[in-house]
Amino acid sequence: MTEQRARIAAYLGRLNGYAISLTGNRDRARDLVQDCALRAMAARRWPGDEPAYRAWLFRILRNAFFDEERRSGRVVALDDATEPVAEGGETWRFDDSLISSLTVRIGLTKLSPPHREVIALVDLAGFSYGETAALIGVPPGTVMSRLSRARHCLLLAIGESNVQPLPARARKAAK
Amino acid sequence: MNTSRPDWTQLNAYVDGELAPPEAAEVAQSLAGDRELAIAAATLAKLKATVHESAEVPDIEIPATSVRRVGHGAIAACLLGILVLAVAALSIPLGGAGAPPPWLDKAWAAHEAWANAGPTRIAVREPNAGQVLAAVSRLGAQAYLPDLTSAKLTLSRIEPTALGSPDREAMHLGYRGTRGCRVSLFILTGGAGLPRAFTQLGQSPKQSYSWSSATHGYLLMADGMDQARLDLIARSLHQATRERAPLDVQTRTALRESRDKSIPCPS
Repeated sequence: MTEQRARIAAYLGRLNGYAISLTGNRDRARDLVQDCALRAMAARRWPGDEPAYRAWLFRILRNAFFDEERRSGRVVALDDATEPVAEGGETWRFDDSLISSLTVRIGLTKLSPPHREVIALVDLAGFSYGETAALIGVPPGTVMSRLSRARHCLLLAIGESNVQPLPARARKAAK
Repeated sequence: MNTSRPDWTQLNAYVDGELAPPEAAEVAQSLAGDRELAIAAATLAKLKATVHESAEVPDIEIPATSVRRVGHGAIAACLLGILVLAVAALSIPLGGAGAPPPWLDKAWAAHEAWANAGPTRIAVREPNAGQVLAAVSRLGAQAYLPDLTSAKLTLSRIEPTALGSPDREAMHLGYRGTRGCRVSLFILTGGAGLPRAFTQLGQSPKQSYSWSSATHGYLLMADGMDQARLDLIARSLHQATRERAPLDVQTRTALRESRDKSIPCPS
């Protein structure tokens, strides 16, 4: 049990970041992480392999979130249907000095839940595109495109008028 | 080699290390000859690193073992299955103020010593299955050790304590919330001179409730907790001891909702 507690504790920060991305609320996120920890400790078996264990933990948290939403009668949309579509095929000039943990944190609050979620899973939790795709139930290509749009929106949210598009010289379709 | 300028999506995938080697080499070559593109990639890398560093470890506690599911292991068996009391009086009057037991101050002192000390993130002395079983053994199988996870309170302490007479077993159960709340439940063998009736002993902010059965006395207390929330917890526990059953779904839902509506405890 002590070993399991230590394993969970190692992921608390990343679970919390993911929970914030799902709920958009720090208090609710903390409750969600608490719920996740309780559920994980209640499990009869734990994955031994660390990547599988990490995915298992995040899946527990995600399921706990949806359970809570269902109980509350809230409708959760974590697909692309409601996402704002960013212009693709362009690179962007951006003032790097604007990027800080504070501006990122504020910027994330302005994103849609699907965008927050994919950034949290890839950038904060460190999942690959494939792992993220398996976790949220979409193809890897969707993760790739959603993430690029999410980061674009995040940069816009951070910098707003400081972001200027540059014309693309050539485009290559996303693989 | 195709040296066409990578698009935004490809650039993101490159920064994430998600491109196949040939494609990654192609993007790297583009970056070498395109300063603006290189700056954009650096921006993405900085953004990614900053998001990664923004993780904050929440102030929560991980239970030493499961207290969540009925029938899963010794803890659940103890907390949810082992019960409850031989309640002689089936119609116990509710409410009303009563005379506090003479050892109430000692109970408050024990509560405050626990609540104001110890780690805030992960308690190191949380009970394990052995401690729970030992507590049940000392108190008797009819003692009720409640599971309050539905109220977002995690059992984090089970310790024998000295209250009342020396020949009386007393156990201090401490429950920690996620927003600073600390609730103590003292269980004493033999009723400990507590009246059978559900009794409120103090007023906000230092509130306590007591009741007893034929076999055990119960004293619940918290300092600075939302009064409606603590009142509901106390009445729910009292009801559970009367019915000799774990908290039902309706009560657990009410406890959860009460917690969501309540204000956090002062730190």
